[in-house]
Amino acid sequence: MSWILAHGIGGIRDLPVPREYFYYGAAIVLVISFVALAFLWRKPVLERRRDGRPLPAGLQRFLLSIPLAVVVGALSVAAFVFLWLGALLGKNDSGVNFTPTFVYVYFWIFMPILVVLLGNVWSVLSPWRAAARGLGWTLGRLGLWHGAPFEYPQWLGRWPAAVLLLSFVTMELTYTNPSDPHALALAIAIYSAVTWAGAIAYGSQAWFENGDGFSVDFALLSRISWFGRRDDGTLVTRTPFSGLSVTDWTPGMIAMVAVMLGSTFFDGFSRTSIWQNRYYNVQVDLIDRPSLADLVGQLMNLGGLLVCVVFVGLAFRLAVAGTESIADRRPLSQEFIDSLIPIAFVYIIAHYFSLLLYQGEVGVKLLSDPWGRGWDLFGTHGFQPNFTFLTPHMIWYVQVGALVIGHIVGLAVAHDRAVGLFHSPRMALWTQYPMLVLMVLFTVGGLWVLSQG
Amino acid sequence: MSLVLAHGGIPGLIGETGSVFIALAVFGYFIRRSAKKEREREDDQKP
Repeated sequence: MSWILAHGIGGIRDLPVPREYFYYGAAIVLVISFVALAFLWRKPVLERRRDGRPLPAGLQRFLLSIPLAVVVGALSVAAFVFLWLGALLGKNDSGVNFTPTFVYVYFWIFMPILVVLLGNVWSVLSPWRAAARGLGWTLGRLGLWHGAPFEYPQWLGRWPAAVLLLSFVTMELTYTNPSDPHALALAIAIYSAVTWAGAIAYGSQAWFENGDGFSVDFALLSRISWFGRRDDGTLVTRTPFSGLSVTDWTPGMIAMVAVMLGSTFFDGFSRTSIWQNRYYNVQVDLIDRPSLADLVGQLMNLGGLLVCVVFVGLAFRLAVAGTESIADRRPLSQEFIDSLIPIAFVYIIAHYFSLLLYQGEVGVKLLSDPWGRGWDLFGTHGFQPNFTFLTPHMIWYVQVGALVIGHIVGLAVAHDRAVGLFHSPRMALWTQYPMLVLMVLFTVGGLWVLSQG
Repeated sequence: MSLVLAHGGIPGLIGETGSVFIALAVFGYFIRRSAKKEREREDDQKP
């Protein structure tokens, strides 16, 4: 599993200024942005731009056509089955098996970028959704399916999605060998079984809009995109980030966003010397009992992951409690939770973009021999990846830029909500002080974690 | 441990984080007070 370490920046050493200056600089940029927002952004603009402008009718008809959905869905299911069989029956070595690279790089890192660029394409690409819809349609035609037996309970909201996403990141970040193809095949099978059971019980639409971890994750990230879909189904182009101007009352939203943010934060923290030293001390202490060492190591990681997720959720709740206290109005969590979504996205960019570029190259080579059987399907098996085109400094500057921009956007989204909610500009400004503290905390914390990796 | 020592040991760390929290609490108190006055002013202006 040497490849999974590739997204560490290898330690930044010779920066032109001490790294603490980057923390202070980022915090100052946020404060300046906050002041600028207060003076320049006095009316809400995102909400009225959310409906956007419809795409041309012909393009709309093509993109929403059933034949296109059937073809894309069938290809997606075929690729899913092929990759799953590859993990199960192919060579059990992540260095030569394509499935781990596909799951952790092309799917887990590239798909968020794709949905931010193109809108929620995952709703069409998801093999779980396509299979559920296809099977439901077929059984319906045969008279064997008369709709879901249960109505999706409103109180359940996005909690199942948060739990399912947490189960995936638990596999990725706490299991000893997450890129082991056989373990991955088992994990995919379990996830699929739970997902399809949910779709059977509550119906495909209700389940994939609320209960499926990946569908909800990508749908939330796609709110950033300049392509969106109105409630009536019309595809539109809109102002980027205007999709974040919704008041989302669905229960479990904070938990969902906390998993999205906290898991990436823990991934970074688990690579700091602080965590690594403790982890290896435990491993050394238990060197005579390797099974126990593995178990304790995994429990340590699980504990760290849960602490990070809970920390993000509590920090947000505390900031909103401050806002509620200043405004003497509650509840406000649902008004401001979307301001964390751009941050979740830039955390992905900051933490994983080097992994995407480096391991993405390796994926080109593995694609020709996805099962590790010595094939050369696309003639790329001899491709030699170049691991030197990114320097640690380049990676660091991209990380700093991404984190700072993401947090400024988060501040702007929250500010836009505030000026819409509170009539007095002064009140809108005051209510945003706790959010500013939260954003500075997340920015400096994120930079500190990345610089220690 | 080096992180703790770099901040003056446990007392230093408590002092640093504590002073930040106290500063935030004092700032928060004044903001809340101003916000309350603003709300009262808005209520008075309502017909």
